[in-house]
Formats: sequence, C-alpha cells, structure tokens
Amino acid sequence: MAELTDREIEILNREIDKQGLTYTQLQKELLDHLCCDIEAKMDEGIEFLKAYEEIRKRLEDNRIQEIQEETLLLINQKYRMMKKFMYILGSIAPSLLIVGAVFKLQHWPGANVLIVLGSFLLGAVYLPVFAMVSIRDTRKREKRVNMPMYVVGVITGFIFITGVLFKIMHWPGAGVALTFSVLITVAVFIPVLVIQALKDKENQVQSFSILIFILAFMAVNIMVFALKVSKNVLGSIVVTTAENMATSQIIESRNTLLLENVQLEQTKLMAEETDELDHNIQMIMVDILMATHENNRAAVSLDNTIDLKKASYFDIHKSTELVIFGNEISKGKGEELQTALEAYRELLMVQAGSELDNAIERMLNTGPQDNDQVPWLDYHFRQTPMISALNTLSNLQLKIRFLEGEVLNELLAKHQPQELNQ
Amino acid sequence: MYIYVMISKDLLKGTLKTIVLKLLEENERMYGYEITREVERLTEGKVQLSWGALYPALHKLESDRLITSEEESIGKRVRKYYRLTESGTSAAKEKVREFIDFVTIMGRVLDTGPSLNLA
Repeated sequence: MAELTDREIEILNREIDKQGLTYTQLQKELLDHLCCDIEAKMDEGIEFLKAYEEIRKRLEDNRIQEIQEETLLLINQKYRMMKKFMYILGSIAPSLLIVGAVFKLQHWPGANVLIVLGSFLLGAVYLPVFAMVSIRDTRKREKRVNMPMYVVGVITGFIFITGVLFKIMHWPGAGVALTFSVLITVAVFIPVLVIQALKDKENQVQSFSILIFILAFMAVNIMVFALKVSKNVLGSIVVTTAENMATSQIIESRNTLLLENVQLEQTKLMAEETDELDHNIQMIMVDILMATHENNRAAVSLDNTIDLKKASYFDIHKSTELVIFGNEISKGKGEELQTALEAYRELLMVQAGSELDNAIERMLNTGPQDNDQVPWLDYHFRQTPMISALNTLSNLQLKIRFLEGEVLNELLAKHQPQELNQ
Repeated sequence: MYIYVMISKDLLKGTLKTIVLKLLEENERMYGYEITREVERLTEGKVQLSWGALYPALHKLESDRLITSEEESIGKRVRKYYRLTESGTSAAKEKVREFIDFVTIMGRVLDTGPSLNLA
C-alpha cells in the first residue's frame, strides 16, 4: 500500500489551509481523508501529482468552507454561544433601563449613564444578536430566511430605540428619529411582515401576533404623543395661571395708588420700566397663544388681556419654542426678555434698600437652573407646553408687580415720614 | 452534491446517521475515510458518501454524545477514530429498528397502493 511522504502531506495541508478553515478539528480530519483518497488512487497505479489534480477539482466542487459551516451549524457551537449571549443581554439591558428609570425618578446621579447603556445594549447589541439567532433557527429548520424582514426590523428597531433615548435625554433629533422609525414601520416593515405571514403558513399565528403587537404599540405611542400632558395637570396649571393674572392686576392697581402718593423722579422711572416689562411679557404671552392656534384669538381682548377660559390647545409645545427661541425666519423673543429682566433687576437693586436685595435676587433670578445648570430660558421654555409657558410668564408679571410694590413702599417710608406722621 | 449516484440524496439524508451508528456498532472504531469505503463496499459502490455529508454528521453525533473520538498520529497526519458511547449503542439499535419498521411499512404501502403503478 502506498504511503504519502511528509512533503506530499505538507502540499495537501497547504491546499486545505488555502480554503480558510478555522475549525481545526475538521481540518485535521479532512487532511487524513484526502491522504487516504490519494493513497488509494496511487495503489491503483496513478501518480501522486495526477491523483492530487483530481482531488483538487473535488476540493473546488465540494467547497470546504461550506462543510465547515454546516458542521458548525450542526454542532451548534457558535449558535449556542450566541444564544447564551442573547439570554444574558436580554436580561441585562431591560434591568439597566428599569434601574435607570428609577434613578431618574429619584433624581439620583448616574441615571443617564444607566439609561444610555441599557438602550445601547438593547438597540445595538441585543437586537442584531436576536436577529442572527433567529435566522439560524430558521435555517436549522431548513426554511427560507426572510432577510428583508430581519434587516428592516433591526434597522427600524435601532432607530426607534435611538429616538426614545434621545427623547428621554432631551438630545436634539429625537423627533426626527421617532417619526422616521414610525414611517419605516408603516411603509416597509409592516408590509414585509404581512407578506411573510401570507407566505409562511406554518408560523402564521406567530407572525400575525407580532404584527398585532407592533400595531398596538404604535397606537399607544401615538396616544402618548397626542396627549403629552394629562388633562388634570393641565387644569391645575390653568387655574394657577389665571390666579397669577388676577393677583397681578390687584397689585398693579394698589401700586398705582402708591405711585400717586410718592411723586418722585425715580419712582416715575421705575413705574415706566415696570409697565414696559409687564407689557412686553404680556405680548409674549399673546404671541404664544396665537402661535398655538388661531382660534385662541378669541381669548385675547383689545387691551391684550387674556381670558384663559376662552383659550384652548394648552398642551402644544411648538408655539412656545417658536416664540421664545425663534426659527430660521424670525428671531425669538427669549433673549430680549432675559436681558430686559436683568436690566430691571439692576434697576430695582439700585432703587431699593439692601433689605430687599435678597428677595429681588431670588425672585428675578435668570441664572442657570436646577442641579444640572440648565440655562434659564431652556429650563422654562424648551419642550414646554403652551400653558406652562403662560404660567411661567404670568408668574413673572406677578413677581415684578410685587417687587415694584415693595420698593415703592420702602421709598414711601423713606421720603415722606414727616407727612405721614402729621 | 451530498451523496452522488443512484440512490437519491433525499432518501439517504435521513438515514446517514443510522448508517454511521450501525457501522460503528459492528466495527468498534472507525475513521471517516474508512466509513466511506465501508459504505461503498457494502452497497457495491451504489452509495458514495461525500465528505460534505459525512463529517458534519459525525460531528453532530459527537456533540450529541452518541459517539466519541480519539486521535492518533500517523506520521505527519492525525487520524480521528470514532466509537459508540453507551447511549450511542442503544441509539444505534433504536435507529436501525426504526428504519426497518419504516422500510417494512413503506414496502407495504407501495406494494399495495392502487394508485402507484410500480409493476
């Protein structure tokens, strides 16, 4: 019986190596098999090189890579690991998100890190791995894999999760991502799913359920977007806003009386400034109201006072941002307001004695807000429903009027003590 | 591609494991090439197992713990011998019995089936 020399074995080994096998167990076996084959042919009197040529043709036909793939698929190594990985991730990602949500609710530090990490694991790792495992499962059952469904599904899911994450983190672009994911879902993913359900009779129930869940989920999603602020919360804010406005008016008329008593140059100036600022704020409120919906015109009277009972569409965000921050075409009124407030604060500080400094400083604080040091304008007017903005603004008016009154009282006490005593 | 020749590959595919188990039951230990030769001999060349069919099946049986393997160096190359495990031995008997049952039943069906004109 012929036996191959070491050199000949080496040649064969290199030939197999070229096929790019990674599973060495199989490679060793195939080499032995090949050697045996050639030896058998040599026993029949065929020379090594000729036998080798024949075998080489068979190597090409048989495509060793495929054998390896099939072997690995059958013995499940990669697949098992992926599945395990999937299960582990599948439990870690939502846990991170839930813990992150609790942290966020409690305003504990680290909430954002947890949420970002959880979302990343869910969208960028779990989702693709799930698709891969799912594809393997389908292949193992010797069924055709509906590639478009998986590809579109993973992409849509990723964009959706990104959108939600951005929304939670208040990063720009959330709306675009969410809208985009809904669009792909409706225009591509759902049709692909329906086709899949129609084709794959065996898993029809399963595909159908997935479809139903996606549709239901989308409905909930849209509802959340549509509602935004619950009616109860809206109602209570409307009440406080209306009270702010009413109280402002009372203080304003009281201040007018005081002003008649204090006939000083400086009080005249202060009264003018206060009236102007008050008016400007009022105009911003009217603008926001009008930008929200033209029907709100009914709520604004000729002298620009606002009757909230006649207003509606309290929960719309866009108008606030439009008026305060502006857009490409028109400049927002926010910065001007902030500057005016700061100037007014300075004016009050000059007029008033040091006892009032604290109150003025605190009530007209336009510095960064909150622990996160959010700029004052962003804090009060970014992604803010119309009614919240009106509440903030009417509260500002109230504070201005109140401080004006305080300063006037103080000046009155200082400059007319004799008169009052008489 | 998997199994050339006379007997269709679809027919053989499901029985490949049975064949391997049965051969190992009779021969204690065998390596891949030996199995293909033995099948060829027993079927007088009518069934030729390609390695594309054989090796995935062998590795699957091994991962299912129906067979075990041992390696032996022969000069520069390594030969991998397979033998049945305990559960493999009973699986071999079970599979062979199952297959004989199947053949018997199919024989009955195909012989008497009025719609099939086999004669």
